[in-house]
Amino acid sequence: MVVEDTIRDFIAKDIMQGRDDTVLDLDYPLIEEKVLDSMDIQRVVAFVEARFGVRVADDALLPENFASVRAIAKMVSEMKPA
Amino acid sequence: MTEPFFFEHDQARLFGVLDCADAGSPSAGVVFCHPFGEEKQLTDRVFVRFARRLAASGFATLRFDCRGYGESQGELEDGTLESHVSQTLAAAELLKSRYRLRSVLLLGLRFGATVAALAAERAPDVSGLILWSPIVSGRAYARELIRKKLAEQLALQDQAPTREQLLETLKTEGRLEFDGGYLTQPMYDALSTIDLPQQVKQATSPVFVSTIRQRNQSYAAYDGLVNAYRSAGGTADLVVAEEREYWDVRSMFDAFFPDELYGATLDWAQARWRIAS
Repeated sequence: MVVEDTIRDFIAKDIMQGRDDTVLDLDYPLIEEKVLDSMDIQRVVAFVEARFGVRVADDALLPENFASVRAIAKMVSEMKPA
Repeated sequence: MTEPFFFEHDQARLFGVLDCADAGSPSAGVVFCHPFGEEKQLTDRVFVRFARRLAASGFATLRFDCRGYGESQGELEDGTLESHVSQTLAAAELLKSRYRLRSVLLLGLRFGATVAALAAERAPDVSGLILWSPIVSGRAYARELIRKKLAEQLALQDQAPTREQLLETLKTEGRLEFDGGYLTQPMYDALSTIDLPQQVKQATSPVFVSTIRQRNQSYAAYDGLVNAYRSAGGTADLVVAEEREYWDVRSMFDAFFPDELYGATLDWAQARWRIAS
């Protein structure tokens, strides 16, 4: 839950920056709804690596891992600390 | 005074903009070296604003588009590391002769900072360097470019290729679609060989290095670069700001440049060239 909330806060505050009224629930489709573009994805990766001490490998850069806040949190939770 | 113009270099017309105060003669000049690919477009206003501020402080400045960028002739794929360096040296000569300057500094951001540093290695008369978040490890940067491409594909929900597949495409086709242009194999290879601290031989002095630090990320690589300049006999300063990356802010009209770095760079330049603000 902490991981999900931390990621949600980051996306809402640092990436969306209030640019729309979307309520970012855990399953909101981030890629499909164009919340995340390529630069945002890189920012999310940098954020979770620094915040959670994990290393997101290139082969983890898959649509299913960035589809929603819940998906990102699941990916992070399954990673071992770097 | 702002003066857009074209100049010839290696059979290409390159676009440049001079900025200089209306009154008085500048005693030092600054050539701006832009970043690579999309970052160049995203930081145009950072350069415009800082060039104008320097001009108001008594410096002459020259911003220019390397071959394949902006109004300059050619395509992105025409560019090599070598061509960026030689265009920078040509721009420095142009600025120097235009205003009969004794001192010309090179200022660069990210890839542009690395180009500036490499250009200074060939031109001992470069009077100083301002390096904003230079690419210190080309190998890491090359990895970053490929990762950026992977992220692009992901965002487009395309069939995501692997890193290995992208590198294979680069190898077999000689280029990879990148930022609306092409990243070529020669450019990728040249970038991969950059190890800036190892390439510092000249005591280019003084050198100002600035970078940002996000979420406790290490900036040891920048310490290494500053130490390399000091070991070569030069003077070098490092300023680190706790800030977010400013070279990928998507608004091209609302440039973000950390105040701390802006002020530190300006103070550093003014103090060394004794130009009153």
